[in-house]
Amino acid sequence: MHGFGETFPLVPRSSVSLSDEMGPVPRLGGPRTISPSHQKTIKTKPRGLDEETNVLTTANKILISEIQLDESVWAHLPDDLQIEILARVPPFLLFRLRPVCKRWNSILNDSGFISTHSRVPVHGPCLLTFWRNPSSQLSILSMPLKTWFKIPFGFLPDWVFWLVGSSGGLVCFTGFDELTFKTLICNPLTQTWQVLPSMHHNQQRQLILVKSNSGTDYKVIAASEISGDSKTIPTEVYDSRTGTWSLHDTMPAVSLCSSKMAFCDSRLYLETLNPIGLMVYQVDTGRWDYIPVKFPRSLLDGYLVSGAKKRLFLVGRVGIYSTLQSMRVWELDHGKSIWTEITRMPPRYFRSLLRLSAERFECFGQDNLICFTSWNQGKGLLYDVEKKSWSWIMGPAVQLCNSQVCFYEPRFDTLV
Amino acid sequence: MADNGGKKITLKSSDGEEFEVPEVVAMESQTIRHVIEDVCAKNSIPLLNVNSKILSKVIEYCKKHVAAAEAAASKASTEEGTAAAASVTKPSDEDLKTWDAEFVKVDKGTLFNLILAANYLHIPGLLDLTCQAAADMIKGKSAKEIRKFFNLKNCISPEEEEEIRRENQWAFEEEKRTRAFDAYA
Repeated sequence: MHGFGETFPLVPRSSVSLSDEMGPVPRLGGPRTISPSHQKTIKTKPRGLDEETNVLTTANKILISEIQLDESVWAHLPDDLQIEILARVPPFLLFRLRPVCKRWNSILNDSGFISTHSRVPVHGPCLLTFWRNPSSQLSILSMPLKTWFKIPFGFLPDWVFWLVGSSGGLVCFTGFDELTFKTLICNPLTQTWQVLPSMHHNQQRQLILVKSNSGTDYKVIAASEISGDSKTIPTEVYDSRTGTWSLHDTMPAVSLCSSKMAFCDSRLYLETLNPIGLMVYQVDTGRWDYIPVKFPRSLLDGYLVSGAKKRLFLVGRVGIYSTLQSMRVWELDHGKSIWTEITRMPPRYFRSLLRLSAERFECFGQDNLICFTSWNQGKGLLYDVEKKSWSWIMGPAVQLCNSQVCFYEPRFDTLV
Repeated sequence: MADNGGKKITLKSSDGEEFEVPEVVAMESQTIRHVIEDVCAKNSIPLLNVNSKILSKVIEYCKKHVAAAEAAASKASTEEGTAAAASVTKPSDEDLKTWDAEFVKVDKGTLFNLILAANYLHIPGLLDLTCQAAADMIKGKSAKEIRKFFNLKNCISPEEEEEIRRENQWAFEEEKRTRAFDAYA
């Protein structure tokens, strides 16, 4: 391996021409411009460097050292680089490229493409909305593209009614098929779906969908019943790897102050009034714990929102008298078990979002984005925790009216 | 950037031009890194697949990113543990993004060659940047324009094309804004 003197040429073992046209020809130390019409290719065998070319096996075996600055050069782009480029086209726009050719039509099913796509930077925050009345619709807002797309969802069974949430490109729906409560997981982009087996205590319950960070497996956690029956039932967890629900700890009898939950850092959080604080379910141990945390004074609502990594936010209005109300966001200091205020909604946004102080609104979020939707007005407001900025979410008013909304990440990994 | 006598290496382009760069800059290319580390290359590495124009652009990219990383690291170490450290690195992230955006504002032929070079030299950041720029280019093109651009054989009939387009009609229909929400700001 040694003893090659001062220079060490990096030369591939052979050159391969691409597509039907001959690629340009390399010349070692030759003139600058090479005519693409030359038919021959050069095969070079480096002196005793056969083993060294392992350096180059991952590189394309193309010899294109001199290329004319010509539009047609893109025709010579090797397949894997074509995929690298396609994977960076916004997911929704990829569907527009399907009519280009047969290969691109089936590219979304190509495993090489899917794995490349899962490696590129994420598209950006999207919102998914779903409703059944008056007419059924599933729409996705791509915030980077500032565009709403009406997603065809005829593939979903008719009984699908409630949107539970979304995680890692998967969306969870529930509904009653005749009298049976059913849970369904789907990928709206690849139109693949799966009905989960019934739970041990198969009633309408608070559910949350969590996709794992690595791989395509996911979990669904079923906590308390929605009917509000005082009888508490064991928490159940569905693991896609086993395809079964497992029974775990029953949440201790507490007074829940809202049915809102937030999942962050492998923990499910719920607020309780009596005793005051948070009930926390640890997925790893399958056990419930209680964290005594005092709520901010005069808090009217209490939305729990998970942020990026381990951040947990509390969002709600403060102040009993409508003229003195403000919307605030707190963050949980895990170490000290207290809520620390991090921001207040500027009054002009507050007044615009909630015309009357009794106006109903929803609040949800993920990845350090907090979204407020006003039911009656069909408005959406976004707070970016990192950038500390507020902005309106544009869109046809009807999209946000009386519909179920959640954040969504477009992914092509199909359901296993 | 630290120029404290760090080891330098010479890269030779296919058309014979020589570029002397600090080793740490050259090692942004994993291909070159393997050569230096595994094969114990001496002073000069000829790159027969990259001409001088493209190589100088690649070196420009590597130099900028190595410098940015060094600046961020030194700032973080001097203001360790303070909130100031987080706010100080943020502006330089933005600056680097702006610089990257300007860097890829090149003609199509150069962009194409940069993609090939980034792939051949195994520079993940540059490959990502250049492929994203190319993706942005095809975003707005029609099917016919894209076929011409990539010289893809027109292997589907107009009827088939129409059918595929119909199946994916939703992607072509953007729901327009009905009112400007900014008015409420």
